Amino acid sequence: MFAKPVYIPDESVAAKPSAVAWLDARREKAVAAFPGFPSQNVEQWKYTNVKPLLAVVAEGRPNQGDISTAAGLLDALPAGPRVVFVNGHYHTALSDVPAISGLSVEPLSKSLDGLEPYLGVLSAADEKNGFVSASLAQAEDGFVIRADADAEVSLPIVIAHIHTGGAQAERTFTRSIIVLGESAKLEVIELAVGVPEAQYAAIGTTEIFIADHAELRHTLIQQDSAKGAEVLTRYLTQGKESQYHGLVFTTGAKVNRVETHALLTGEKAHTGVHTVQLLRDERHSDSTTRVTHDTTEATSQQHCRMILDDNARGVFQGKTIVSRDAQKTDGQQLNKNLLLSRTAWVNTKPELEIYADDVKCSHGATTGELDAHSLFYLESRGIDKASARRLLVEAFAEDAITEAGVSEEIKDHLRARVADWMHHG
Amino acid sequence: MLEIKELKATVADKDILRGLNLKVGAGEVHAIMGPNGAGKSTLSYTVAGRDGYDVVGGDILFNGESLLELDVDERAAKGIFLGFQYPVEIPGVSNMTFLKTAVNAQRKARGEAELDAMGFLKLIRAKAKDLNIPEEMLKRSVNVGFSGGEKKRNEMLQMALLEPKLAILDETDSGLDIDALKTVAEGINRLRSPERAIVLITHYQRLLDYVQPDFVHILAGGRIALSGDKTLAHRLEAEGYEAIIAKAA
Repeated sequence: MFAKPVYIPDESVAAKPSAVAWLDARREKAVAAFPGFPSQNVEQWKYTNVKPLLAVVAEGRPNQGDISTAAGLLDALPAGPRVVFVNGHYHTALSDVPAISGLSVEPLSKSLDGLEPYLGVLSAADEKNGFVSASLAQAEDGFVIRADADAEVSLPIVIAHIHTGGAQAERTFTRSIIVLGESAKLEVIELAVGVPEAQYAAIGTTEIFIADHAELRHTLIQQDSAKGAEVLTRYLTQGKESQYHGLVFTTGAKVNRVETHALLTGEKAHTGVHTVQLLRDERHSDSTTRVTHDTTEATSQQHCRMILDDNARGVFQGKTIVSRDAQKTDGQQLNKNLLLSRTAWVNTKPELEIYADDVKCSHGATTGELDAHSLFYLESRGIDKASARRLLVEAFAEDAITEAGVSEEIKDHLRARVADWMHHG
Repeated sequence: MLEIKELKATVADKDILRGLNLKVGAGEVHAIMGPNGAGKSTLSYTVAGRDGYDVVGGDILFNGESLLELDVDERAAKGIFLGFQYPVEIPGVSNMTFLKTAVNAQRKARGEAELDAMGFLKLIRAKAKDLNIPEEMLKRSVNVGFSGGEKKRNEMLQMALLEPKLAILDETDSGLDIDALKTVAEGINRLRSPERAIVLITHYQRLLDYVQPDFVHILAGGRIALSGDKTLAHRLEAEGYEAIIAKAA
């Protein structure tokens, strides 16, 4: 017997008028479908309590608070076009989008034209997810990236979301779109930064359309504040022989969840959703991924690695769905966790739902401590205990960074972040 | 250099070493032989300071100073090197990073300047060449996918880089074919010097054909049961542990 799911109502969720008829209609529909926010007795939200996020009610004020530190972090990222949002609103001064042939990068608030086939389309089937319908109803901004067919963009596009919160906790909504035409190649780096101690609730949805033979490398780096809350939901659909290489690198937050839904519709498409969580103190992070194989000979990887210290809590929920005609599917799920304290907590739930008969699907989960033999080996060579631990943790993260298929520049950047995280332990 | 006095050690509350005495001087090569379960590996781990190997009596002096209160890495920085019977595989840490971190950690602990990337590269290329270790093996993760012989050569490389005062080599010959054994033996002989002591822990006399020891000890029941020169190893080979230990008792 399953208990009836309980949703937490929220009166503040309402359709924002947009002056665009098709969008207004979709917003009304989203509000009508909005069931409330999920409580922990909604099965998919069993391990993540969103109540602290819901306590945040005021709407994010644009360009408030001190953003200098957060803006400084942008400088550490590879050069390229930059689109910056502060508290969910486009920040003109910090953004820099030079004209690049075959590419358009704009804030949603300025580019509703031509978005009717995209905005709210992939997420429509999931409107019972309160975060998704609320973001459609209320988001005024977000990023829109469109790459024409055959466009090959050499520089990565950097999107930054800065959350300042302030004395008063604030809630922000964003909706974003990435569209890659046939054979287009693109790298997108998203950085989400919370000003230390800032209280905020960032709710975002991104819809990603990857046409035949196109290739997207997509890295999301989250550096939320310990009091911040962030729930991001991403939907992607992929055509024939297209590739998605996704990496989420997060240090968690008070509430943190990144949900990725990939739908493979074109044969021989490949999707990789890789997650690295580095969590300490009371931080929480939830990586929920779902890959649906709706075509033949497609491959997928849902890999999640968590490194947990103190009382941190990491969640991995992976699901591979193979539809009846999706023969020759190769779907892998792997979750590996490293516990650095006895009070850290892991919840892992790998699922397979297979309706085809000629497929290769695997899933596995391991959780352990640092290996005592390895530590002794390193120490016996004169490396002190703290440095030995650091080497082993960096090695654990290294595997995940390497296998995600992102650019060398980003790999180096993430290695530095892992080292930095260890040093501040 | 190394003086072990009446050493008693336990592992998981089980008595393994029961009053072991051993003196090793600079420039000497000692072989410690003994049947399975005699406490050979326990001796090496206890000198290295491994967690879980508890000293419950006696002392271990290194150049007159007790090691018992020192951590594993501090003992290493004093110049003690343990060659592992089963070198540990560490995925994700490149051999090069590992070796450089170790060399510089010890230099730092001794108050010497750390080597920069170029300085280290020069040093390691020369040492790797002596041991027939290809550059590619330095780039791979520590011991991952190495053959038995490669792992032991990698141990010799670490020893050559760290230049310890005392090297304790635990069953370095196990699992090696004759060519690999010769390479490893050459690595050991190259490091013989009047300032350095070497303790070979071994099951068989085979290695001792290539590395001639000054002293041979037989470890049995957690004590040195018998000591002698290299002819003792030959007697062992001919008569077996049981007979020799029975005679000594």
